[in-house]
Amino acid sequence: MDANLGAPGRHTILNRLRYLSSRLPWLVSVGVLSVLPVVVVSALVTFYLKSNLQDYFPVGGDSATYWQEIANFAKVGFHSGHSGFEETAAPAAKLGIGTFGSHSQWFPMLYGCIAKMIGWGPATVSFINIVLVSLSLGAMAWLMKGTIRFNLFCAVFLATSLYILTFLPIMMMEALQYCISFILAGLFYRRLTLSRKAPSWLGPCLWGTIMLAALTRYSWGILFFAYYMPVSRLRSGNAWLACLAKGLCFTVLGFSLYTYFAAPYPYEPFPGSVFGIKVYVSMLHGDVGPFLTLFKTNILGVFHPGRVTVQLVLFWIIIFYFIAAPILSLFERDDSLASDSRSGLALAIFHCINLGGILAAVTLYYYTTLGMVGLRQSMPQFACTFLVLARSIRIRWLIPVLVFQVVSIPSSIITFMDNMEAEYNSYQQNIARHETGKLFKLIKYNKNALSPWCNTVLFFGGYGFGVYMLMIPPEISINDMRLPAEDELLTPLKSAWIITDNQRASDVLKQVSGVEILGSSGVWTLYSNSNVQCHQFER
Amino acid sequence: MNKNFALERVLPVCLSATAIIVGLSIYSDFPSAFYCGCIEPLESKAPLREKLLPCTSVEQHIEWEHSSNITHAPSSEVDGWEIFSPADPQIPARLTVMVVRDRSEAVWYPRLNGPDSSIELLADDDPGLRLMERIRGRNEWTPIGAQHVLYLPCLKYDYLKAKNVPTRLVFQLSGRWTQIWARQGDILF
Repeated sequence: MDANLGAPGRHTILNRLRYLSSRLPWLVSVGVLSVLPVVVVSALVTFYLKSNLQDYFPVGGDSATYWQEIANFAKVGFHSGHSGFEETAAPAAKLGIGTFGSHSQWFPMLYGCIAKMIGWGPATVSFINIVLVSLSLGAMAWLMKGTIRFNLFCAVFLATSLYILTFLPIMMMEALQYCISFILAGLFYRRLTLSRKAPSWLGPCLWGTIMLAALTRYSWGILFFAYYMPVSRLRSGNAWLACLAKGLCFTVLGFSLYTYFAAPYPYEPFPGSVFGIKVYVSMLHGDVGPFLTLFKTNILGVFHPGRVTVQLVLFWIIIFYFIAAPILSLFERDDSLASDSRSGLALAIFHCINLGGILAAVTLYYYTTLGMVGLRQSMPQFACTFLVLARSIRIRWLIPVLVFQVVSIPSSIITFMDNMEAEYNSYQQNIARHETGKLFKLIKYNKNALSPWCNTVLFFGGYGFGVYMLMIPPEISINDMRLPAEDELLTPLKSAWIITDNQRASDVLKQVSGVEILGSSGVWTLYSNSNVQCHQFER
Repeated sequence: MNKNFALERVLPVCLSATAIIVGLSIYSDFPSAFYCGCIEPLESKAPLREKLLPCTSVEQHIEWEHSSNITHAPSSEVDGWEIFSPADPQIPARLTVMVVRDRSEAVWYPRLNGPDSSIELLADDDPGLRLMERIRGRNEWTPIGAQHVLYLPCLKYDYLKAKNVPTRLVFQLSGRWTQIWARQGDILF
């Protein structure tokens, strides 16, 4: 008889150990998938930048802005100033709270909560990113329950995708977007292939993830249409109408919540361009010229470029799989999957919505190939589709992507080194600290301020001061304002603190009563603006 | 059967072959790109030998308008040589040199002392600077005349094949005891 008879607890433990040991190779493959991208990123920073992740310092305009906003939230929550441009604030400012920039408040809030728990230094973001990416890849593997081969294939795909990896060790929103895409891939695959047999937690979990994703980047809201897809009643017209209504409703809700906390972006992204909604406003007025220009520029930029680059080819790959993914989902299912044909159709529709939605958005809203903004926006969605494909069709159809990524590694490494050098080199932070460290410390946080503008510093006469922003106290928000036309201010300045390194801007400020010089250092001058009512006893 | 074979086996292979062709079309010179992108940054940058070369034929000039916080003085140790170092040792200095890429290798002479000292050589590879070499100081002076080799073809990635391309080099000096040795304003030999 079994020696464990009468000791059920021990028996269970032994069974569990046996189960775990039988699953060990699979668990190791999940570990490889979770860790390999992080290892590759660390190796790139160590061997190619001759630096390490702890040396990261946000230098670029975007990265420094994100960093400061997260620092604001971690330090004082909503009691900071107004981040943004041209002294505009998000609609949520009506609530009397400090608001963040044009990419909405949700991303800084999310990272700010983590920062509040673990602290927030210049390099903290790199570690948060790599932990989040590892966890989300582990979650994806657990949700998809793929084979060892699947896990290793995904690991190789991500380890060779230097375009994706470039975003991991820097202060940008992209790392979070990829985490979201990995989790969405797992959740959607599970939901669409299990259909009615799906566990009860899956639906709310997927809905919550889509909403969270839409709050950080509203284009994810498109996936509400896939969420409400009537998988079990695909031939029902009424079911599809309900899907469209619900999808539209929650996409609009996500967009509204996003924009309520987002300061307006008053500049066109590229000089001379006509951007986004303006195109459609002009169409309503009967002028289709800007729309045709946008469309023509995008088509020519994508299919008739002056030069073929890695990023452009990646965008071609996304377009190719937008067409191929639904076809492959329908006709090239992996035989080892015991799913019915209905789930194949559901997956095909999912890919259409996921990739079609984002491609339509970037083509009709952005200048796709200028700065390759189209690729940056659509790559997380592509990663999501790619990983679902890797689980649901034969992997041979995805090998071309890996092949291209491997062939493009030399070029991608050079791009990585060119783009990342400044952020992993102490030169600029040392210069900025020397030039402005003492001066910017004169800016004091006002805990009992009557308005968030009292805790706002305006960088006047320029744009994207990058590393200098990090010399501002972490409780203070930063607003950017370009030099006005004719060097003349049309409205009073709202911010309590003003900084400039521009002589023309200084000349403009000299003419404004109530604006006084607090100090200067090198090319930088700091002003206080007493026109802003910050204390009860004033005026 | 044959139709399935063509579709399921041959088409993915054709797609992979297309991916290789498209991938290679990105490069003007793939072997050079592979070397400059993957191999050269990993190669050891230890100095070859210790010898100050008496003259140079490398076409170069210092761009003072793009340099900052740099001062230079004659060497008290070797006649005819001058030393570039930070004017204010509290902040890093930059020395910018325009060089014509007309050969494969050139040597330069950094010298430093102390764990807080470092010298970086960067290539201006539009749109950013790219690290070519980083030397960190130790608790003793590095030897005079230690030859550090710079592989010139990798400096400007978009022009791997082109000869005589003027390229901007940035020498970044951090710390009090950091020096670049030069002769009559020439840094590269």
